[in-house]
Amino acid sequence: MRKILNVETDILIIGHGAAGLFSGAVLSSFGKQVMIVGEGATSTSLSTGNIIFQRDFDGNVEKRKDREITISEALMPYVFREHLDTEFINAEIRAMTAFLLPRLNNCGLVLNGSINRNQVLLTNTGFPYSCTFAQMFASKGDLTNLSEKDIALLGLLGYKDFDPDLAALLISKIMNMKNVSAYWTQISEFRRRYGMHPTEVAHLTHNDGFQEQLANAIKDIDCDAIGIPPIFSLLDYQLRMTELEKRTGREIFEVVTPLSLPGLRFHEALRLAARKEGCRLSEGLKASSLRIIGRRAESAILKGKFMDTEVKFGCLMICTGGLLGGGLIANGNKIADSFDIFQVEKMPNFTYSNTKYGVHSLIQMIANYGLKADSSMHLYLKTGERLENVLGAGSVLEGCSFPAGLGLGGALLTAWISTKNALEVLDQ
Amino acid sequence: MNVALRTSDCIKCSACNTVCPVVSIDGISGFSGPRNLVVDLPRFFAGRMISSQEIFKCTTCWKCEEVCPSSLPLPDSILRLREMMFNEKNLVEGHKRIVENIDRYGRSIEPQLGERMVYVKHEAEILYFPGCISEMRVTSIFDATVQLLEKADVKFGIPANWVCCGAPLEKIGDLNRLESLREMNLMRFGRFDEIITSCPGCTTQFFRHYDRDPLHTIEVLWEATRKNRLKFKPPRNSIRVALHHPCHIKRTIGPQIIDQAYDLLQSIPKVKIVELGDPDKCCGGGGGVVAGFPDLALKLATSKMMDACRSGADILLAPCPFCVLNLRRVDIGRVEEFITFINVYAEREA
Amino acid sequence: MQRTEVLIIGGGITGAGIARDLACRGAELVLVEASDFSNGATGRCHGMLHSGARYAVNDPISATECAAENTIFKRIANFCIEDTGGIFVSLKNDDLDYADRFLSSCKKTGVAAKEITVEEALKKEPMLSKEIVRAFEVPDASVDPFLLTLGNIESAREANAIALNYHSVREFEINEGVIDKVIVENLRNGSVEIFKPEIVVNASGAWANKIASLANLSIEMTLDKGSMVVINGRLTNGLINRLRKPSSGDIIVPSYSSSIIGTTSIRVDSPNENKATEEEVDFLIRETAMMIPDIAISRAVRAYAGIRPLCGSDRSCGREISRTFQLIDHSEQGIENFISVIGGKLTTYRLMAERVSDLVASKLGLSGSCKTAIDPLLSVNREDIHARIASSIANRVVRKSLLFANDVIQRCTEELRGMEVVCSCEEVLRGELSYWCNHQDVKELSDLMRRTRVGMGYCQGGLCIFGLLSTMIDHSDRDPMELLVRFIIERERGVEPVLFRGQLKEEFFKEHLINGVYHLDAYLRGEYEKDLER
Repeated sequence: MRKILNVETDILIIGHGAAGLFSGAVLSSFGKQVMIVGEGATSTSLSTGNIIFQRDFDGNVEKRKDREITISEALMPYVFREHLDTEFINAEIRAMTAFLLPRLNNCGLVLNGSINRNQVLLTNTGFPYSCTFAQMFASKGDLTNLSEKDIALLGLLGYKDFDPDLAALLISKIMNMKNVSAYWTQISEFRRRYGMHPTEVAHLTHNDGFQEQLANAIKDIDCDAIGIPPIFSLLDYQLRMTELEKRTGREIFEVVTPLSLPGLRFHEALRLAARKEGCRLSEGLKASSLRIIGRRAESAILKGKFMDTEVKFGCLMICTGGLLGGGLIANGNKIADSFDIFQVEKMPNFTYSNTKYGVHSLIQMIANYGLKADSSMHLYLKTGERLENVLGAGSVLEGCSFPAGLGLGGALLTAWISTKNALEVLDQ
Repeated sequence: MNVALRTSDCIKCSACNTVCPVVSIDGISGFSGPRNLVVDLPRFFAGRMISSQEIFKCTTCWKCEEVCPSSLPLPDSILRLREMMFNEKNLVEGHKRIVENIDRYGRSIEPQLGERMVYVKHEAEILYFPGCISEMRVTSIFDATVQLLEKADVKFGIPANWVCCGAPLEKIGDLNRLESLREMNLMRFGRFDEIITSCPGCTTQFFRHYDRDPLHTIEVLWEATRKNRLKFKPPRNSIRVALHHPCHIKRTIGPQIIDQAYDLLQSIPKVKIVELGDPDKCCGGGGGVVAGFPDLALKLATSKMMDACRSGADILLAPCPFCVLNLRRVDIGRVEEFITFINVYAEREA
Repeated sequence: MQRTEVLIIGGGITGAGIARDLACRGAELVLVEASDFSNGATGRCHGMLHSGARYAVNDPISATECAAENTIFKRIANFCIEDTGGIFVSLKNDDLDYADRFLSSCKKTGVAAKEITVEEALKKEPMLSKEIVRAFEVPDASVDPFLLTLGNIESAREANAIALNYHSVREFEINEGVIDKVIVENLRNGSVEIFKPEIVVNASGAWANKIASLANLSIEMTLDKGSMVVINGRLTNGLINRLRKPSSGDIIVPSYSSSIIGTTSIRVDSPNENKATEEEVDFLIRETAMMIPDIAISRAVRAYAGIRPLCGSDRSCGREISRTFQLIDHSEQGIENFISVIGGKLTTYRLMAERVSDLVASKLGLSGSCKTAIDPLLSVNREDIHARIASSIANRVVRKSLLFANDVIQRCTEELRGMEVVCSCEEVLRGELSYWCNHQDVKELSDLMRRTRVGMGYCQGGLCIFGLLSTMIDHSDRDPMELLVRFIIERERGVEPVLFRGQLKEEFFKEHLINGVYHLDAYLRGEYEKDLER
């Protein structure tokens, strides 16, 4: 006997990854009643949390499989291909960043950002080994001129996931930097021989004794800026990093490691931001069917383990994610959306010209699928019709999913622009 | 073995190990995590495998399954392994006591304060099943629930000679006793389909194994409030409360109940809701861990109470007797059971 | 220039076995292998130690050879075998006539087969289909071909042989009907090495014809591709075979934490056509699921293919060619000191090596006799090892470490991070990797893989690659990105045909990780420098 509860809301957002949470936060800030539902994992929480808006196609025309594309097309999520106006996109990126940054700041995670020339450089904590130093936040100041500084990387024995020697080698070889050095230190509680899991590390790092030892280890290293592994949990992050900088007089930044799942922390920060804006977040509910009357979707049935909820809404946003997030599913490589009512399309392939990495493009080809949307982000049904009040955002859209698309950047940007359309739908 | 446990589709992302509360507190060398126990190790066995006692450290908080990209049934697999391993002669000390108590008293705990009297004041339309903890440990829950149900004009009856719902036995893998308890209770329940429960453990048990229609008290009160049978008077001074989301409500019965709990709190004037940073972090009370590994359960509880203190709340509210029991072992902060708190300010609407 | 008595071309199990046999007889020898040892058919086989039962009815010569070698094998090479036994099963519509002939053929060929009831079979193997009608127990076993080959190589080295991997034969200099010099390229640094052998043995398997052509000779052989799929999890306790005339999709072999299903038989023209296809994968899963139904719902982790170097060339169907081996003394064709060996099976490698070594020994006038059927391949003093680390870990590490167990354990226990688990799928410790990184044979990350099983578990190197790289850079000044890319390419080889369901998602996640953390896509586009300019 399944109970059905009845709920009403202005906007129902299905999908609790970056696109869903961000859309919710934006719409909530405009005073709308927002309900976000999601189920399972998100690609966001499994990502490296790196948000890059622009691949470097500087000044050239790139060749995609069947045609040449202009630089502008390469700069933005595929869904905006009709807007070939770089200015428009750049302006939206700036506005979106201005909205996002302070809210993430308030959740303790992202602390600073730099916007220069036509590029927005955003990431949450730290940088991948081989990414530009400029694409990075630290607790204060701008790290865009790090190449002139002396950088040290500090590994903690017992935190086996971060190897400063490897990181230093990669950064100096690949980025041609001469002044990166690597160090190891031993902090007493850490079980160095067998290695510790990142979360058990985070548990030990909030006590004072640990921080004292870490600060002393850092002070012993002569450098301008020092990179440490991701050892602080989200709730502590801002406090700890600032304190550490004060104690040591160095610029501290965090280095991304594979198992640290920085995307998880980014995701947590977005969740907190959405909740603070007043969104109602119901995780563990799976959207199962939509009730459509005429050209409008009226309500959705959400299934939990033992209880269902029927949600009546004014506007619906589908932000269920790509293949990894479960929004698109592949059965023997046939791609479908998880409701099986929306039209799935394939973006023209983009193959790298000199890849030695054959299967890389195979994943790319699979990743180029997504829900078809028009320029106002309305989704198309399989029948070819569009519903008046159903919009899409994020990796679930055609060509938006990483690695073919722009990943987190695309998710956030499509969400930002989609919410404007959502507001219009609601005002009608 | 992976096919039997339905864990073949793991993508080795480590999300489960990252969110596991036991891994973060006890360390990967103390508890190797859900992935190692039900995905990695079972690959080496075509048939029966014996896992070590480590598998009993899982609190069945269900968070691993929640974050799994392949939606693997990790906690169910852990329970299945416990079933396969169950050996009456080789139980952890605390679990041995549970089994003895069931055999002797039909309860998972030793009666300390005597049984509550059964009473069926009116012609009952619905059952109330208090559960072992509400009846014999945190008895304030039993008292408060009975009062509240009466205020809300719910015609309930408590079944005579009810026995433990069996949840602790499922957690230690004792299917035989689980089955006999279930049969006994079903006889006591008779024709009644709907059962009000105080403990999410009981609620979950009834959903999964009893084929009856269980309700948590929160649901009943929420309905009653919507139908204007209850009203709330404010406390004298403002109170700041934080809500703990019990694992067996949030991730098992349904997140809707948590929403309803917030609605109820919002109906009480001068009660200010403060957000915990991580409200659904496990308190350590589930999975048989309090009995089997009391130190581990205490560490988890301490972490939770520290969160509560940091949030600035005056009281931490927990809609679960097991959570309350475990959290009260920590000597900082103040924790109260949810219904007990609501009862103080609730009044019958004339 | 280096003089030697014997130059063996080919570092698969055949070449390695010959090297061991001859070295133990006192011959001075050099073995050269173009890539890493066991990277040909040896490293791409099913990993079966045959009882011979599969060939009893249709290929009695092979059956007899296998039956005899099976016993010897288990005596001398215990360290690389999982002696699980096996069961032959027939299903409802299988040829019952064949089943009847099976038992008598086994008797005739010396294969120890015994009929058991269906109930007994289901008890031994709970995952078996309930549709089986007859079952026979046989002494099949699962063997690790990498360990076996390396065991032979190390044993040969102990007897003063020289074995060189990443050495590719480029040219023969022939003088009056004799191979005078062999020109070999050292692929590590591009240098050229010249050998002056008295005898040249061509044990290069699928490349035998290519090597023979360097002497302007040709060998009649058939190249036959056999594909296998690695299924996650050990679904059976022992091997399962289909009781019928040898066809495709007959076999399931448990190996460590996987089940390997196979195989197919497709004629190919070159040894480089060794990719398993999606069709083969689908077929193998369907066919073997008839015996073990759970295969259909298990996770396929990888597909691979090896090229069988079969004797003779006129048959249209690869399955009809006998699995016995053939020795070719090319003096009959005008080259005095050149011998080729083709055909055979992993199970009979020792016998092949014995015959070849007999021929070589007679040509060289060596007096020692073959002791490979008696002397165990490796013997390691295990007592003091067990004292130092937990026995479950010790057993595993000792098994893999061949003659070097003491050194490996020392690294694990004495190095600072030696006990860290780098590969959690196969539980490989950092100390093990640290030891092997320093070994002369190890050039690529995949070489480490073959020696420690790192990256062979179900994540196929997805997670451990980072730990692996960090160990490797401590011991080598190779460009880590180059190492990374080559390892990824190696691992990706067998992934394309199994990209569905769980595996697709996993590859997606690995993509995320590798691109996100290492920015691999930018590296491959040569765009790192451009990133710097931002």
